[in-house]
Amino acid sequence: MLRSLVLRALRPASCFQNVARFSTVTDTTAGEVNPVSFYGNEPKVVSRELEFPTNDGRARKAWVENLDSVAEKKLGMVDLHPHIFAITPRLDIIWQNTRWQMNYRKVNLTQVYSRAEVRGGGRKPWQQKGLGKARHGSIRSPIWYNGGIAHGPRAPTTKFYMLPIHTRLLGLRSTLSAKLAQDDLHIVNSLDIPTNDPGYLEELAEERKWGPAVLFVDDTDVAPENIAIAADSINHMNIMPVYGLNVYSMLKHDTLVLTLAALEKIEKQILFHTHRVDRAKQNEKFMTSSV
Amino acid sequence: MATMKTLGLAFSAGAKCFRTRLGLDILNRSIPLVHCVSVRHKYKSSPLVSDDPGAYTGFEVSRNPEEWKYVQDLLPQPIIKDPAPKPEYPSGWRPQNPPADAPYFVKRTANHQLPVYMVRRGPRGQVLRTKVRYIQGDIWTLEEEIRAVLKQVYPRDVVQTQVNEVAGVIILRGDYVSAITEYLKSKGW
Amino acid sequence: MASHRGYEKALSMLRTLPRVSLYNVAPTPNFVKKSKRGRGQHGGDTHGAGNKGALARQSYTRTGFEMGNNPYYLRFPNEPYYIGQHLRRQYPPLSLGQLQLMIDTDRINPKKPIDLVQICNTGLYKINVSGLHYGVHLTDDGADNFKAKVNIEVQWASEPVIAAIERNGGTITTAFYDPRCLHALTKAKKFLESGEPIPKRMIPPEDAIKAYTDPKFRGYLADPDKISWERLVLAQKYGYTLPKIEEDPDHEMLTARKDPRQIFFGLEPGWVINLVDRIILKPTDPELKEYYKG
Repeated sequence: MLRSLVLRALRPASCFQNVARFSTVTDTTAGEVNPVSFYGNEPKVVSRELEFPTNDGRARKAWVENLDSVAEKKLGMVDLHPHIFAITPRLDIIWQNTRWQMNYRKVNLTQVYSRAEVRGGGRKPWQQKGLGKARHGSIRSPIWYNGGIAHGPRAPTTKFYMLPIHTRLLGLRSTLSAKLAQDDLHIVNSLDIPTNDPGYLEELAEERKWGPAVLFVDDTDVAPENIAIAADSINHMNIMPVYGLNVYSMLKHDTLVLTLAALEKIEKQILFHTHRVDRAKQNEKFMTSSV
Repeated sequence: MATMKTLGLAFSAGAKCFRTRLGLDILNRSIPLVHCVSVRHKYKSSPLVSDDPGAYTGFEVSRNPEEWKYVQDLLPQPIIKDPAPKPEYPSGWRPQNPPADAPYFVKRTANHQLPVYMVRRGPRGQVLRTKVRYIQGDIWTLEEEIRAVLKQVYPRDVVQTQVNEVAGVIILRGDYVSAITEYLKSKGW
Repeated sequence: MASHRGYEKALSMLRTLPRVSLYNVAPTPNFVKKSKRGRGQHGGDTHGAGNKGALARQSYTRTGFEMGNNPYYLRFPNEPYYIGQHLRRQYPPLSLGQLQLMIDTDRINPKKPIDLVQICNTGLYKINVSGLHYGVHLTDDGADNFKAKVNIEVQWASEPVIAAIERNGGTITTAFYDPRCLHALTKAKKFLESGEPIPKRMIPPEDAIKAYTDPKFRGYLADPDKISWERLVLAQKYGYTLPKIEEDPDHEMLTARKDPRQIFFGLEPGWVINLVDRIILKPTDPELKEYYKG
């Protein structure tokens, strides 16, 4: 792990893998290629039709790689939407998203006794006047030792809040842009691997200099058997369906591996929310009764 | 760590609904999806008045495509599409035709409008600002250009600006929405 | 776009900076606001409430209380012009300029009749039926630049607006909808998903029936012959040649009108729409049919 960290820090900017990612290769006129049939010795440069294409000169492309051999094979190159993969990463929005993810589901079940709940304290301890002592009504008032707590935690209290949808979308987009910029994003054709041996995945990650923690994202609920068994025993390699994609997990795992199907889904969902007709309704305050 | 298989249990949906939740659900329980029709506690969900089917009207089922066209017309479009080119735009709207060599890029809003806003805040709306958003690339050049334009249009005004390079926003003190919109339109943004 | 600024600069910087992770993201300064209640040596003790007194003990009088004399906010009785103002119908405005912009940006299709459903479906018009909003008031802001030929049905329109629409060869009708129908119209998709039968429209209340039967107002209950006459009169008043609707290729679309009991074009009251199976259920009971017809 230390070796890969050191290598990551020392990697020069002009490494062979990095140049290709930022090349603004002009779109070729290849037809729609079925992602499943991406096999061959030479990489195929294909164009992927983007929904809501932009003309602002921020075109991005990424290699499509394979998982079925330890050595990396480039199967093709696909377009990535710049609105999602080439924005100025808003680190403050990323922080807001991680803080939201950590806190919104928190329920504090701590409860301390108030003066009414502490045992005893129902009777006036001594008469109001005449003894020269301070006046008191109960031995369990907050000013007494062993008395109740005046403003203590009262269970259950929740830290639930909803971040506005566009803040969450911007968090996802910023994280994806940062991952692509830092060479931590890899697109693969599918998650099929030849063996269910966990060593295969570890060797693959080592060979390709993927960070120790890898997050595989696919568009299905049930992962292919081999990778599911292999990743099950490795704590730092996890598989996730595309609807579970979130900022916290993407930051926690060093490398993000998306399948082509997942990439399509992510782009479609994010762009859908960006261009919805009922945006006014989206911007309304989130009410739990609406769910 | 949960694998795909255990996370698979967390999800149950019909073919008609689509997911809009973003975020990892670690509770592994089904949560109702936002776009499913929920049961409302109204007269419709109360039990039937009578078990005798004769008490209710008979009905005929129509699959007429002509009638269905009228139903489809009632449903809104889900997404905002790019407007088709037209010979003229009487409202004054123009599609974007940006200059090829500009060092910056001003993105249109989702409704295809220019991202120039008048913003008021504070008590009685005393703080008045003009906000230009969605600026990509060299924002400083655009700020200089805006200053130059406002110097021409409002020679006696002292223009104060704030540039937020990370967010791609320029904020100006005062109301210059019209002047900036006209300038950006003239450039093709 | 060769300059190294903005997103290019940010993304290039990230290539040499440490990996973005949970441990090196932070909020903008002052984003996390500290609690208002002070603690410690300088914020504690009386927590900003001073010593003793009503404010510290929260036994102060309510806002506006003037120690017994009649307070300012109760001195002035309800003026007669305010009586019933909370019950009056309101018509949130939509200007002709906004309508033209919607048409230019393809948010509304002028080739089909425009009614409240189409305007609400753009997502650009805000109406709250529960707040006594009874429909669209088409205003004349931008009437000079209005060039679209449309068949539009609104709930309120003044004379210059009617002239602006008819000048371009379009038609305008003012129609009334009762609140139950308004809920169906303003949220058409939600209504269709509910599986309720399409309601029949009720006639306008007494104080509105005069307007909706007035041909000058292009009311939907007015005599069509009188409306034709008023179209000619308005053309002469505003000084334009009234285009001949009969010779227009879109004549059928421009003269499409709803029955006074109908709320959706092409669909009758009493029908139930099933969006999933794409079928329409029509009642056969004669009593029900009689009810929905009249």
